[in-house]
Amino acid sequence: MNTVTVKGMSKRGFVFALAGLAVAALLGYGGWRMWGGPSAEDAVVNIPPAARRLTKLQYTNVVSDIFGPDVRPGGRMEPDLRQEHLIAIGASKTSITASGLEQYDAAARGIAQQVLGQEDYRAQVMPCEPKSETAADPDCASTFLSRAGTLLYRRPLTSQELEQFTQIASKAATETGDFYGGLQLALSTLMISGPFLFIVDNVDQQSDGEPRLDSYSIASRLSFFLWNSVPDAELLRAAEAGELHTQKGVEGQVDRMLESPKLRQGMRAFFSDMLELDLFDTLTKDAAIYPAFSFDVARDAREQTLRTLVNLLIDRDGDYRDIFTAKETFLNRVLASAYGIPVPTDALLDGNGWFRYEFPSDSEHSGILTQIGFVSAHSHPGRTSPTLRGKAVRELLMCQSVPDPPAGVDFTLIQDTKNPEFKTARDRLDAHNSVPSCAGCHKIMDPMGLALEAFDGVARHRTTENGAVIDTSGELDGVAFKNAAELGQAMRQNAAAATCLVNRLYSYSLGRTPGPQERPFLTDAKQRFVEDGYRLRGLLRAIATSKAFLSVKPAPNSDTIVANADIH
Amino acid sequence: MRYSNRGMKRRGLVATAVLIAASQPAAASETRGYVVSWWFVATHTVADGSDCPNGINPRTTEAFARVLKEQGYPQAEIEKRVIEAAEKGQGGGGYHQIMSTRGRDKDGKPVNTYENPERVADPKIKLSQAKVAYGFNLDGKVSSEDFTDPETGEKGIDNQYYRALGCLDTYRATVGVSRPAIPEFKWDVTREHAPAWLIEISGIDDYQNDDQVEVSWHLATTAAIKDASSGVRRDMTMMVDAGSRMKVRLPAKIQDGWLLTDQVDELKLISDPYFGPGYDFKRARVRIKFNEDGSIRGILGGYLDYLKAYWGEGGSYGSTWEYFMGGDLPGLYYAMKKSADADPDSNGQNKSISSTWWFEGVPAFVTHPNRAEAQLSDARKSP
Repeated sequence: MNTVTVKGMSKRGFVFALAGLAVAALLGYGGWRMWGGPSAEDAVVNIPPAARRLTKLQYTNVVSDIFGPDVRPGGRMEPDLRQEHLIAIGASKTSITASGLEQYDAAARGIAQQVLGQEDYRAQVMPCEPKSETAADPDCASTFLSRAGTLLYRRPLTSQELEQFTQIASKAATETGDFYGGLQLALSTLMISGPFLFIVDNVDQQSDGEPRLDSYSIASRLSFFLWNSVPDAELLRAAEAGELHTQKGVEGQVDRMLESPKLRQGMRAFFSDMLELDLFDTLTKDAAIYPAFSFDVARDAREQTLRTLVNLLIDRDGDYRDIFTAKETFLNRVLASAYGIPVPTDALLDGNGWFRYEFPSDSEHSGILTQIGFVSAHSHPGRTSPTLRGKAVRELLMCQSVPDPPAGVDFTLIQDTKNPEFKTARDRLDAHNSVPSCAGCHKIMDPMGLALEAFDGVARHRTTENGAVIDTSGELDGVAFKNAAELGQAMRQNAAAATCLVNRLYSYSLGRTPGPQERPFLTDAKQRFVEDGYRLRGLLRAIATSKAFLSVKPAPNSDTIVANADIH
Repeated sequence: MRYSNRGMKRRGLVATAVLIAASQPAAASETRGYVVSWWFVATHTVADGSDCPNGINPRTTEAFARVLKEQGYPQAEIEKRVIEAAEKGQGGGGYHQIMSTRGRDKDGKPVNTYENPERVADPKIKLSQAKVAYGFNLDGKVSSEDFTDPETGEKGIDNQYYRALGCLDTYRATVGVSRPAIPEFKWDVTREHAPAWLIEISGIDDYQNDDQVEVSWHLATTAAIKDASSGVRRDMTMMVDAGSRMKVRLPAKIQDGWLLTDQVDELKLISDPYFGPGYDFKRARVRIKFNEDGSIRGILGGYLDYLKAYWGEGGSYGSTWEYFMGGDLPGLYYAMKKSADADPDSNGQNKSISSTWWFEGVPAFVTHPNRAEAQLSDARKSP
């Protein structure tokens, strides 16, 4: 039987001050050994279990959901890794560096202090009162750690784990004369351990001996997929009751989760990942050229796109393809100024900040491709880029690969936006594409990007560049368009867009690229998605209740995941 | 009482910046909104220094050394304290204490210098000898003390405020060309914390020539918002503070692309009292130019009570102003008093000083919460 355990937590040589970092060191030198590499043949046949490191956003959501929104992880976190277009996939392929664990340790200590260091706050989270605040109380410590540990590990702690963490709390309380100080240390140690920082697929056996995901792992898969956070009490109850090993039980929980307000949080995370909106964490523009692109606008541009998507796809249960044509969006005061749009008086007065806005029917602002969240992210700091924008359309929204440019390409002509001979981006690209080695790839990227030339580097509409009229016409896979709005229509009609969503969502749900053995499921899911009117909820349900999503089949000779979290 | 649009000579009006939009008659009466993005005394520094032929006024350390010497400090002590003040700021070398209490009452006891500037002997700061300065002929006369406007060529310009502080180092700048650093810093702080000033120009039928338009100057409910280049963000929606005492409506005309208001008896601009004094202008006029990028620039001229002007310009800031602006506040007080050029009291001392202020504005959507009719003034579209 393949099991994933944290074993061998030694009681020897406890050193109070270094307890957390001992775990860190073990993780840092590679104490986590992931599933042994299956053979190429096995890889085709088997769907391997995985261990995914919590993303920064998941970490924040988990802390908020368990301890309350006022508790904030401070400091920096190990950066997320994007692989094969998704952070969700990168999370399956990354470990934790020594310095990264120091950051987790600092964050965990800060959280523990916020939760237990303040009298009024800990009154809300403590299930018991210690006999004395200046001495150890193993019973009370164990009660708290059992509760918190179950939520943080997304499963009940083993008796060995609970004993270990209780001992940490007791010894620290004895040495410091501070019950809550000891409990803080135990909590922070728990929060830098593997079962918290990694979402691990634990495997047990069915009655016929076949391996399967254990019920708590199913609960975690569901909750991180749909909510991007930990299972709630009801989902953990269902896991404990074994209900998640029945199709009916899973469907019941999925239906409940799809109606939860947390679905918005989950889908915001998915679309942030799919559209690479984390680009805005570091995106800068030349302030002399684009003074409108401030920190506020960068932050709000991402929010605009997410609000647009969640409103259309979750709140209104709309057609996914409408994301390319929707006139309805959400703006706030600063973002409205970037678009050059006045804010209605009632929106100014209500103090909410965000208001619903519908671009006029004749506006080229149409769908997410024409929002700041897309055009500014896929532009250079001081100029637009039809190529980057077109590449992003192909790769992020159609799941198509565009080769990197060949080495030694001379970009001088394209970068010279003040060249009087080539006034528009189209002029410059036409000249550049006279080089045969460049022309092939540009042909599949540039037409979409050139349609978006109607928007400058911060999505302000324009009709000319350097005094020359911008030609926004083009063709996408045989469908001609005259402008950005028609490009949106062409994208809406393009089957690759819907197929891409199905594939990305499935990859996101499991943290890996689907293998050939999963193609039939994806084909079927796509077909049902189309028949269902391209509704996201239906697709989420199809994936979350599928055998493909819930099953696991380790290769016969694969190792167990072992965390030798000895504390010396 | 309202003054006519007199005295503005069109001869010499610059016609080079004819707007694409402005050259076209507007389809219907338009209203444009702006948020004021820069406000400062309309100085006109000449590069060769001929406006201050005797040099500029002493800087902070020199003024401090002079005061120490007047108070009998030995030379070695003076040098030590001056260095300490330069290195440690206002608290160094006893700068704040000594400068703030250098006034003496009739019994020779120290008094607050800035509240009692006449308890300090007039240091006779140097006044600008410039012949050219921005502004208007506010009194309809042309005298030897008046200037000629560099933009319009109009003579008889009344701007004695500029004469009083034109040779202070930190005020030396030329409108539209350079901004003095410390006043800009002061403006930045004001801009971020005080409710913004909004300008609306309504009734525009033709941006080149229009006999009847109106300029309104409002206080906003919020401060201006900065953009990535630390300028004021364009195209923000700004709400008028309908309850504000600041209600300025100026009849105006547009002539050859210049908007010129009538001269009005009173023009009150309210400012955050912590950062600015507010301005109670008398016999004021405004001139505005529409810029090609949709923004505006302009000047406002009018008379101010010289005592309030002194207090607002520097007196209320005390030694902080003297330290950072490098000026002598009693000196500024005497300069303004001497330069005051209107409204004499019974002793013949003029109570008002003519002044000109430079302002700039970026397009904004100006909205009125209580106005039943048109709710919004469009921001001028960027070309």
